[in-house]
Amino acid sequence: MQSSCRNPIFCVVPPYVLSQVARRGTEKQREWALRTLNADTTIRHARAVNAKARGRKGAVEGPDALAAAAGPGIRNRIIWNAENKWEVSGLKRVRDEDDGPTGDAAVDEAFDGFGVTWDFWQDVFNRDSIDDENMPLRGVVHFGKDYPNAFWDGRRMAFGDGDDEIFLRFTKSLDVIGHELGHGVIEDEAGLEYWGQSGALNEHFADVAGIMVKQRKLGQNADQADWLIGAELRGDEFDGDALRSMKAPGTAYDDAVLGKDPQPDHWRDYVRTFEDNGGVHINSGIANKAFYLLATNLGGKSWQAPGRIWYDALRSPQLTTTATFRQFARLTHRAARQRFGVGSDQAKAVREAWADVGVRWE
Amino acid sequence: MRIEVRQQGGFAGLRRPAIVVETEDLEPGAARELEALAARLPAGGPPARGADLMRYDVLVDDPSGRRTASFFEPDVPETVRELLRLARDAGRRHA
Repeated sequence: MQSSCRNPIFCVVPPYVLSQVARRGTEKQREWALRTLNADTTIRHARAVNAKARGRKGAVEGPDALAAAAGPGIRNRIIWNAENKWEVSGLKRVRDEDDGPTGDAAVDEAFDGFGVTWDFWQDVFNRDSIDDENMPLRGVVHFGKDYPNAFWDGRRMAFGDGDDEIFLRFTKSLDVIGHELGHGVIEDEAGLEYWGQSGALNEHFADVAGIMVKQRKLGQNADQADWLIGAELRGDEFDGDALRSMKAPGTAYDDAVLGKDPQPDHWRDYVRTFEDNGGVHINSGIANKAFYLLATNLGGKSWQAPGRIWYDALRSPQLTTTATFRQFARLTHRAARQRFGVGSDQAKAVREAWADVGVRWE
Repeated sequence: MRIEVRQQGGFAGLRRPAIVVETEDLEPGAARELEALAARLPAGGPPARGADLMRYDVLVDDPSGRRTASFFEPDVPETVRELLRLARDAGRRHA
């Protein structure tokens, strides 16, 4: 074990004190404390051990370790402007956590959406950012030219401006931002393979994450919400309500250019295809409908009992990276029984919601 | 040389029809440019991580054989980006 004790004071001050300084000190103190924390390999070692003890996949390395040391629960958002280039790195950094609005709508929407989403995970699930290790939320806006997409590349979220006819800029929808950050959480917790059934579950959970973030922001009960994904992205030439409907999969749009919403809402209509990574954005409709049914049948807020059950299932050690719908459904049922009781209304409602979309496990 | 490019995936799960270009139908300068890019088509491959990535499939068919490659945002090489752009400009829609 290497020790990097060049300046004695760095070694005398325990890491948890440095963390406090990093969190609460003046600008100068923060800088000093963060530099120290970063220089000291012991904190990384401690983090690695803590991570193992908590059953996690590994400790934060590199620049994220520095940010993580700033302390749990401290929001950390960074936005870059791609200026219509097709790049996600080497870009102009345009807004940091302590900066005010820039006047660029895409920058500020991404920043604000990250903040709402960060608070959602922190307040509802006591989760400290994407990785539960205070990872900074990185966003790239104005990615590409007329680019109709938002994506998660394993490290950051990128948002295109859309073509302005069919699609507007992708930062306009809070559920889209919540969805992309959801992919980060899914990757960190479950690593669901992005193909076929596990890929559709990955997409499904990202939609669930996005819709919960939006509904909580709006203070909506399940029966008051529209359950639409990407409604705010629609340009004048988009013919439909949204990109997806969790309430009525397959009905979100019917458009001359895009075609018709291809989502099934029942297991018997599961689409077997080589397109779209084996239909990940198609078959997610089946599970989306199940979540919608659960939330409306239970009543109240989607992010309370339903969200808690889904999150428990995502974090279950039994969830494999190649999970099927049936396996995931079964884990949600088990999670409901464990959290709310074997004969609870919640557990019964979970079974019924999956049964209504044709997914059964015994 | 026949070149087909197809864009699919992304957040919206887009399914766009393939764009097909026969370079012999193009004026010689444009044809040469596309053929040169197609001749240097990199291998491509699936992404290591990520979700909602846009995917671009390229098929090149000429007397020397048929080659295909798929590229995922944001890892699309500049030469492929240019090939996609030229093919879109030149191509006719092929449903």
